[in-house]
Amino acid sequence: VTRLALALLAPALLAMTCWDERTQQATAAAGGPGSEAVQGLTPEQSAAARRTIAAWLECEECTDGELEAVKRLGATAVPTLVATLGAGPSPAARELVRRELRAHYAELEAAARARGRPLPPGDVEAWVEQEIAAWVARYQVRSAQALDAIGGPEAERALRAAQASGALREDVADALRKLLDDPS
Amino acid sequence: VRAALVLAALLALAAAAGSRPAAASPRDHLVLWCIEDVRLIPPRVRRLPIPVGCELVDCCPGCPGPGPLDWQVRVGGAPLASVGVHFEGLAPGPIEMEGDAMPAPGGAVVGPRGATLRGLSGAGGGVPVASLELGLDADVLAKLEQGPGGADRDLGEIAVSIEQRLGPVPVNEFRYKAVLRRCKLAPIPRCDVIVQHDNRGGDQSVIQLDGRRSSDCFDDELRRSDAVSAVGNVLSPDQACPSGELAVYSDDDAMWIEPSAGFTDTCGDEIPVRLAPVLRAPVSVWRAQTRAKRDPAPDLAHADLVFDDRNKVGVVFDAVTQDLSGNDAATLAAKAWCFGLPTLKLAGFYKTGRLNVYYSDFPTTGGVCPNDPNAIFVGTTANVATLAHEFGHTFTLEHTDNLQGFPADNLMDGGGPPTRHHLSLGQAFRVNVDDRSRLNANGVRSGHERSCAATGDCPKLEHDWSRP
Repeated sequence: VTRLALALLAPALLAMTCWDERTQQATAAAGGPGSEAVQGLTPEQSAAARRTIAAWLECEECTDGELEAVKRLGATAVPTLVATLGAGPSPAARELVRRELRAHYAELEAAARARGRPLPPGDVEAWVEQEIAAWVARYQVRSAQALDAIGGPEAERALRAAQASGALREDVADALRKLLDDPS
Repeated sequence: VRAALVLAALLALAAAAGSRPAAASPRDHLVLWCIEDVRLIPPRVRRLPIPVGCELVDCCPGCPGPGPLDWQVRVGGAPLASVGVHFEGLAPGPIEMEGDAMPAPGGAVVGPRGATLRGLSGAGGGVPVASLELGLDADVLAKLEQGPGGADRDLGEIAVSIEQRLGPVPVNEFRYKAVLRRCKLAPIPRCDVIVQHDNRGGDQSVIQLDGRRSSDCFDDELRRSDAVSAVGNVLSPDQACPSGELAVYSDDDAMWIEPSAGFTDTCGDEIPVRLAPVLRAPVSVWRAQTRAKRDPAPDLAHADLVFDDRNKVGVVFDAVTQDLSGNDAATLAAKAWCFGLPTLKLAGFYKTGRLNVYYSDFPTTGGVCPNDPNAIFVGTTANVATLAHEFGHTFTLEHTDNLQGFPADNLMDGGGPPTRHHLSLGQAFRVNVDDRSRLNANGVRSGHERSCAATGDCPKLEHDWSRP
């Protein structure tokens, strides 16, 4: 029975040990929450961090702990979030979404026409650009929220610089102002 | 020892709890496909653009920044002999290749062992875009098509994945997987039939049937059907095989369901299915945005597309729109999201017994109010799928991004592409039949309903029919 118990325990203990090592490595690599120093990440850690950030930027209602996961990345995430606060989605992501939206609009028009309520006259490109603008705003608001949650001087500098730039859409600027004004 | 056993059990539980499936990448494509229409896969895949570049603007945490990328192309599934990768807008010069690949005009052809294409970057700062040309092996497909297996079983699959790397770091992913199924059954002696009337869309409907034949008891058997569908000799339910449920899903018609279809033990049963017009869910749209205004019309068209045309759920949305953008109190209340709902209700900007959608100045995407599932808010950073996604929640659907078998283009993905449009048959069933769905609670739909959560007696959520 003892042997059986040990056999049952061994994989679980091994998994726990590995998990602890991974956690420690990731925390060390991240430099800890709020730290200015970001050490080199392994390719896997970097890719995992990128997916964690992307999940937060893209989520719909964000009810699965997406912001908490970014917050746990700490300083590791800050440079990327500063970049997405300024620039929004990447050029490759924009190209993909722009093409998908253009192709989709024809389907929307057909669906609306078939039900006797055609879409308001307008130009597909104008609609696509409106959708892209909302998406850019989502990236910027979420980046600001994550930077605010992580905290630290670099994050605050980035938030103040973005606010001072005057280049943000009104709803994004509003969200940023609230974050910076909120003492909590 | 007992303590060790208890600890082992607890640790095993903890490990199991931690092993949730990985969330789908925003560009994970997973389709169930009729093998009879497999020739339609390559043209569809060709239309999927794959830009060369990083998912995020600085590529990744710790990355030195954008630079030439390497593409690791993997090819999977016996029917897939090769994948042609054709680039537009790539910087001039030959592509360096490693592995099973040969140069081709504008790109490369990658064989089944996969390959890495190195040093890809755009000409003049533009974003190059690739398209894929699938080379299917006709002999393998013919063997699969003639092999054993019913209409509801996987025959094989085709898979392509591309990992874009900056040095050793993966910075973007694309995955496409098509699971092949047989849609057309071998002819069976005419015995029992299901006869459909009044199919307004004139489409091939999807029949979902529980029952028993002499050889087996079957649950949620799927078949595509024209007006008359031969189903063999379906016997009357018995104790071992008690369900005789029949459901039909059809474009432009409401879902039809009968818990006891009425098959008898004699051959020659003719089960009539009289399809009813598509359900029209009434919606009040309150436009309370003063800036970054969204036009609800494309959002509603997308919802119709998802809940009717694409997935045969049998629901469209009849919206009445009122502009509140000039009403300061209303726009302020709407900006407060669900906290402002009592104010909006008091002011008369709410209709009971129907869905109420508020387009709000709040800079977020969308949400359903926890205290009132008839109230939906759409914010300034929503996309064209947000409204339909929230409708999905009001019809009991939950997020699918951590569930196996759901692609990122499922409408209920918690963050997929803005054009996400897919719903499985399991989801379509719940939208209609689950007693918590607003279709039932609001009286849009009448007829058989049940609690999927309480009874567990609904098709698996991921159960689906093969497209097209």
